[in-house]
Amino acid sequence: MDVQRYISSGIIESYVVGLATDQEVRELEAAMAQSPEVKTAVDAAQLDMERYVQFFSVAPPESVKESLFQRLATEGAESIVPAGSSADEGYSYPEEEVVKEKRMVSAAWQYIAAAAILGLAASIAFIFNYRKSVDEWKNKYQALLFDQEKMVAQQGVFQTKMQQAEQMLEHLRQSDMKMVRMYTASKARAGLLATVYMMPKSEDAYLTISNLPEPPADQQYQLWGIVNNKPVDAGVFDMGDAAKGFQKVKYVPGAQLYAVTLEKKGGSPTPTLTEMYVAGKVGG
Amino acid sequence: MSTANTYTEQELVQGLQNHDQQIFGYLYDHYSPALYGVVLKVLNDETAASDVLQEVFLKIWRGIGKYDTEKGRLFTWMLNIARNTAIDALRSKTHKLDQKIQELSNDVYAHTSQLTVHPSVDHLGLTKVIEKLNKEQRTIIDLAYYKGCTQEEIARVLDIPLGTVKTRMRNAIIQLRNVLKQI
Repeated sequence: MDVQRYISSGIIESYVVGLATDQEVRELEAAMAQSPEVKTAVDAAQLDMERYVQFFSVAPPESVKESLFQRLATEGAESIVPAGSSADEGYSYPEEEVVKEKRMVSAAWQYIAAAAILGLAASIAFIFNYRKSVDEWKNKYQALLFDQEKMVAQQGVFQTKMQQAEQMLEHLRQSDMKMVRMYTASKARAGLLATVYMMPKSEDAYLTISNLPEPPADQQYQLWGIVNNKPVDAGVFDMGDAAKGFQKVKYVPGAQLYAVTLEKKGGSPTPTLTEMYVAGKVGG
Repeated sequence: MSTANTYTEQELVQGLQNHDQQIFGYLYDHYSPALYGVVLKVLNDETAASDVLQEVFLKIWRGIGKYDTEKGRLFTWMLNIARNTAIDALRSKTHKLDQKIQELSNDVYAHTSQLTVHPSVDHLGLTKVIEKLNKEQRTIIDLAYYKGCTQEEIARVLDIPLGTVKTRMRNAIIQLRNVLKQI
């Protein structure tokens, strides 16, 4: 090979500017290995080209260095190809990608499993709470039912009292009503008072108690109408709550006098006169 | 870079192969203007050039294990990575040939304002190179080196026979060498 002619062919210059074809590159590399003269010529042309290139140096933006070193910090040394590894120019890392993919798959299952467990726990918690609230509502419902029954019963009581009161008011409006005030019958029991209301037209009679002592448990008060000096039973009556309103009693036609005696429970056929508490005349 | 003499080339290579980030920082500070200059001249787009420059240094960092001192100097190896990466990026942008030529005739003056940024840039040298190389000599070097053009493309652009491309290239480099001797 004519070295001088080869050197002057322009292949070396083409090589250093990257213009040489693959075949020319192989030729030149072989020639460089054989001929120090060629090698020297290539190195000289290379230096010329490098000096030329450096005339066009431009400082890059600061941000490039910053982001470059940030990437290095996040990548670490793992991504560096160790010396002596395959001279693959692709700079790709298929093995690493496969590993990442596997990790992603298993991570996905972890998330799914975690989500499932979480969902199950939430369902159990919901059911538990639901059952708890159902029981709670059931109890509340029963309590309401009980309250309602109680109120209905009380309403019955009130209704009866109301009806009596209305009847009494109706009677009060009637002009024939006679009010009989019964006062203390013996000086030993002062200040007692009870009243009988007589309605001759409808032959009804009511009793109110203003002041009578509570009787012993085995005794009851009994009302008598006295007709021509003969006592006629007008019924026993209760004390306590019942004594606070009007109590219906028997109407005794033609009674000139009313009296209350304390008798044995259930009443007596004749009054015990020593136990007379109150008495009063029927007015004309 | 004659000024980059804090580390010898052997120390640089050793440091890089030990993944020494401080050495890598030094390498970046001293070589990035030259490499960025190459990338910028290839792409003629500062944003794209910045991205490519980062890629170039990542390739240097990751691929230092593949660098063989017997095959050439570190700077030559790095320049090749910069040029190849930038030309790959240029090709992916599907630049047309006449567009490449248009860019070449514009870029020298377009970037002169930025040249003051780096103190190591030799303005006088650049001016002399531009003055003493004729337009055809500059174009033939630049089309080949910065635009990755083939011999056929250069023959078509310069309207010269294909067989004369290599000798014209040789003449251009010889003229360059003469200019460099005067600087």
